[in-house]
Amino acid sequence: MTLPNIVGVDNKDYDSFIEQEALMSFGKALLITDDLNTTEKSWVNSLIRQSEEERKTPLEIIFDENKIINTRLATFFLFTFLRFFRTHIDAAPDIQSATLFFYHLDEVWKEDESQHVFLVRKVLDGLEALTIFSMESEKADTSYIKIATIFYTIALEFERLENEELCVNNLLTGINFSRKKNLQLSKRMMTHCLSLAQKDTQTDLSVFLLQYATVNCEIAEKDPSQELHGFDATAQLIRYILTKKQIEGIEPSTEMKKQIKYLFIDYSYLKPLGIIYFAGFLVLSNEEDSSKLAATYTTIWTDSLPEWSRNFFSGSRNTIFDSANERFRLFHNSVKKSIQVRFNDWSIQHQNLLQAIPHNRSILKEEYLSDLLMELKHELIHVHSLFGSVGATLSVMRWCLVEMELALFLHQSTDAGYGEYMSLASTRLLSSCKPVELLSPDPVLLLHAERSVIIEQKIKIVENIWTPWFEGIAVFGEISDDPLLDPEIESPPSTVIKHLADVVISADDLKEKSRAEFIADHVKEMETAYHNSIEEKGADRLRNYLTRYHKKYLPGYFCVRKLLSNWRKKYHDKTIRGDQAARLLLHLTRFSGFDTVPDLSLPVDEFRQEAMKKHIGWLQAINALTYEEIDNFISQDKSNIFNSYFWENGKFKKNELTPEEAESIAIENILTKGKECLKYVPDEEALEKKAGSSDEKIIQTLKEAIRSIEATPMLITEKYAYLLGGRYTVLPLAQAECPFWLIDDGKRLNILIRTREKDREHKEARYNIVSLPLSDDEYDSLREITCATGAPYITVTRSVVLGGTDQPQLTGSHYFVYQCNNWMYTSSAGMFFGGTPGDDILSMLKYRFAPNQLIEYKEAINKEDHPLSSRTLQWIKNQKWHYFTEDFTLADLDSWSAETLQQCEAVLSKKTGDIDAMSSLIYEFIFNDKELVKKLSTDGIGALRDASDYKLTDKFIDFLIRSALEPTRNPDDAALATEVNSLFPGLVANTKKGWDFI
Amino acid sequence: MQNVIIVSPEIIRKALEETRKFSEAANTEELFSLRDDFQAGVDRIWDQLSATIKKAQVWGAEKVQDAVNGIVNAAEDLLDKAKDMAAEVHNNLIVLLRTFLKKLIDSAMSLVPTSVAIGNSLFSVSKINYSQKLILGGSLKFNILEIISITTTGEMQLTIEYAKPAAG
Repeated sequence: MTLPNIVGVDNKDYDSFIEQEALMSFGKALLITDDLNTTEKSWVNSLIRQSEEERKTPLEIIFDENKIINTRLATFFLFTFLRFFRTHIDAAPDIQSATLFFYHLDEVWKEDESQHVFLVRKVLDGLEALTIFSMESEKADTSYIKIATIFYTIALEFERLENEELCVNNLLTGINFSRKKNLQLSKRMMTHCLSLAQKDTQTDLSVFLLQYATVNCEIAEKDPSQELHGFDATAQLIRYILTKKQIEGIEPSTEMKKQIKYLFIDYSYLKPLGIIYFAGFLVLSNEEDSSKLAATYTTIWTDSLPEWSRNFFSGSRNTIFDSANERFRLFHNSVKKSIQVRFNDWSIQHQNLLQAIPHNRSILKEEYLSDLLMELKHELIHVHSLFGSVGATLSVMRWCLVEMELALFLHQSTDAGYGEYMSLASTRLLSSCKPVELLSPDPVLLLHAERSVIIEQKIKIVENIWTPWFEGIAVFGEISDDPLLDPEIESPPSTVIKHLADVVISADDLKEKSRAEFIADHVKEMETAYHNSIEEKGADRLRNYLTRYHKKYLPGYFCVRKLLSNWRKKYHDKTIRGDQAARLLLHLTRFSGFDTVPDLSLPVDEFRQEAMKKHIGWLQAINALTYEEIDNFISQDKSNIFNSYFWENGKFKKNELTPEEAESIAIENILTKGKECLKYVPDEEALEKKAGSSDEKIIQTLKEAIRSIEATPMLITEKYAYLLGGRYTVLPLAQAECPFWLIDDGKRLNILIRTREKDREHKEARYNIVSLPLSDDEYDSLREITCATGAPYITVTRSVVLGGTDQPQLTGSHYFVYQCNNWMYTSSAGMFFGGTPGDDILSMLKYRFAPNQLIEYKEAINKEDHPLSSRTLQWIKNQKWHYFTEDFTLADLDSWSAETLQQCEAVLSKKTGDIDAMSSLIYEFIFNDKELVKKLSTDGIGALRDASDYKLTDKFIDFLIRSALEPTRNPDDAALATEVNSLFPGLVANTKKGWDFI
Repeated sequence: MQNVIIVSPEIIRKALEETRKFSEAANTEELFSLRDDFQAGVDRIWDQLSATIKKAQVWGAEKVQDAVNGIVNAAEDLLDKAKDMAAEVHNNLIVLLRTFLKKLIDSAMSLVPTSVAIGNSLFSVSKINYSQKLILGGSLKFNILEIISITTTGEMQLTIEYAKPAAG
């Protein structure tokens, strides 16, 4: 594969250069289509003769005679036009005359079943756009961009047809058109092109990478949050060039060197890379005294590992740290600081773990260790909560949104009946990671778009209704699930925390203590660290949750406490400690079955009411747990309980299913919920009302569209069901892009890992060098990728297996995943540090981290900013919904589209009405006192802060922490109860076991 | 016209309550956790100050001197603890004091007659000046003492200009 060099083209010749290039690309595209058959050839010949006689073009004759032509003939005429393009342009008096050809062709060409209809259509559109472009004396930016976009579409079609060479060819032509007019489009095409070109290790990427870096830096000029991309593209460029020089002895041209130098001059944030680039050349040119810099500045090291270490640490390794720190700074300019779990993909976004990987014992040296551990526990409880029936239902609903997009795409694709449907969708839709672009107003499109918005509304309703509860158990768990309380048993989130530091044991260490003793010491250390975190920060954190953020956290937390106090009353002769309660609450949340969410086919308002009712019903059911059920849980409360038991109608039951049976039931549940979500049964009258017409044809079309999704879904099928589950059994906890070096002698991979953003002692980011021994194959393939692509980083992910393994001890275990393009290497972390993951874990990790187009598409269209509803809203606004159809029937979709628009607005609204309504219902469930409910809903426990005893809030918070562990016997609590109860009647009560909440 | 508005305990109580609510966050849709960032410490100092202001109204500024010193010490301790976040924590405290003062002035303003009748003419408020010092920065201690002083004297000096509306 060759990537042409257009660096040297003068500006004045640029337009004619790209015009020629476009014609060549169109020509190459048409070459793959079918030739004319003998009959067609002779017909064309007679047509040409006739056209000479009548002084008309052949197409004009066909048009005048009301004849039609097939795709082969259309291709032939396009070819002819291409050959005489310049002559045609020069002869045409104006744009209208120049484009008459396209008008005629469009009118006479009847799109048939040829597999190349789409391609020919795009070439037609492209040639028409190029004709207008060539006729323009002052070329409009939109003309460049239009042609570029068409080439992008043609490129994607060639990718679908598995013709990578023509795909790259069309991408490059597209890039040349968009290069100076639309940087973002150029970048998108360049990224795509790069991913294909990198597959061919013989391709020289130098010029292309320079262009790629330049485009990224130019984009960042206007948007500084994009500087990170400019930095990364330049890092790849310099690594590629230095490696090429080192391995092949090839240097870039003088022109290229000049342009690279300008990058470092123009963009100050590239300075650390500039030093690496120039120092690298010094080393590779064997300049005097440069050998001591070799390990730092060159990628490949031919000597031994000890020599590399000596050279690296005695050389100027600080330049590498400067570069890593600069990248880190740019990264933080590009992301918002937050600590959250995304409903969409159940992933944790922790502000301190987006570019730092806990490694070895680094976590214990974090500046805000206590906060970090408790934040992680909180978020891990969220992830585990979603790892149950509610989360699975939400996930199925999100997949149904993909199903609706596929339906929209199918309806709009003129050639979707040809070839394999998913392959078309894959190229033209899924690869874009964007919603289907809706074009003209159409009742079927509106039907699918509306249904998509309805599903989005229901997703939002389920998320919002469950949010107070999810937050309640998370706050309770982070403060009260103290792992020191139980020497044997821990909750799943506690297991994950326990693995956060790696147990590194050398052979010498084992002379002093056994491995089991090391592990026991480690567990004790981690559990103590968490216990100390609660002691240090628990009160501050609980105070914040329940006062400043009471609207979000107080209802759920009080609900949890109410349930706990009731369970304690029933469990009269034994204790339920805080850690036991946390485990019970999480288990109930995860394993109460799919009945916690209503029928997904209900209309939105009914669905909302039913979802709230079901949630309250579920709270009542778990509130009613009997002594026996609580005792069953607590007596069975062992480390593997989370996979072995479930709840059915308030009964705690053992799961007797084999793994195969369990998987089959899980798939069945997914399909049942999916089909329920896709079910839609409007009566005839409702459809007529929507369509604004009783025209039988329209109604039948709508009915057929509804039926086809229900009867023959494309995604909610057994074939894809495995995709709909499984993916999230592995949680990426922390990730970073890390510079790396390859050591030929011994085949080792050395990686610089940022282990913490801020060290407690040094107040700055800290790094570890990790040296991994690779097998011959692993090493050679990584070396080949590095030389061929200049990949500057290994992406390192610390990930957690949350479930899905039949070995209970592996649930919650940690793994390092190292990735570079499609190269992947894994190793165990945490308490199994140094080991090699077993086959089942390995396949789970591969499944989680290998690219998957469908899953990526699902996650992209389900982002928090609701791309689908945004798309539909804009589409409705931009169209006229009162129009005549092709057969002159009046379609009046005004009121239907207006209703759909309102539904889009509801999805896009940031209003928290459903959360607030659910919070009020939860308060009503806890307190049978309307006044109290109103007071708590509006002001939380603010009245405590206004009391004359300014320490009353702290005293109450302290009481909540103590009593969560066990009811208290503290004599001071009697006075506290009086004070608190005078403001909030009945909040603190004296039970048989001591003072407790309610 | 120079007017002195008497700030009643009720006005102060309301302003204190509104200031406390000012730092409360609105509800949101995401699932997230919080980093404390010394917010709890700031709130504790506010609660202490709030209680002291109420006490000072009854007992006078002198009687709460020890409490004021206690608040200042607590604030300084918090700033020490905050280390490189001290400036942010300091700013959060100042914002609370400033909010309280603003709420207090807003309440006082609502007591000003919007128009006065002189003879046969009705004059409407055209301008109001608050002539005491506004808290804009400086040391925490100074600002806290200012707040205590305003609330214990129970007076706010306002200069109010009335103008006869133009005919037509």
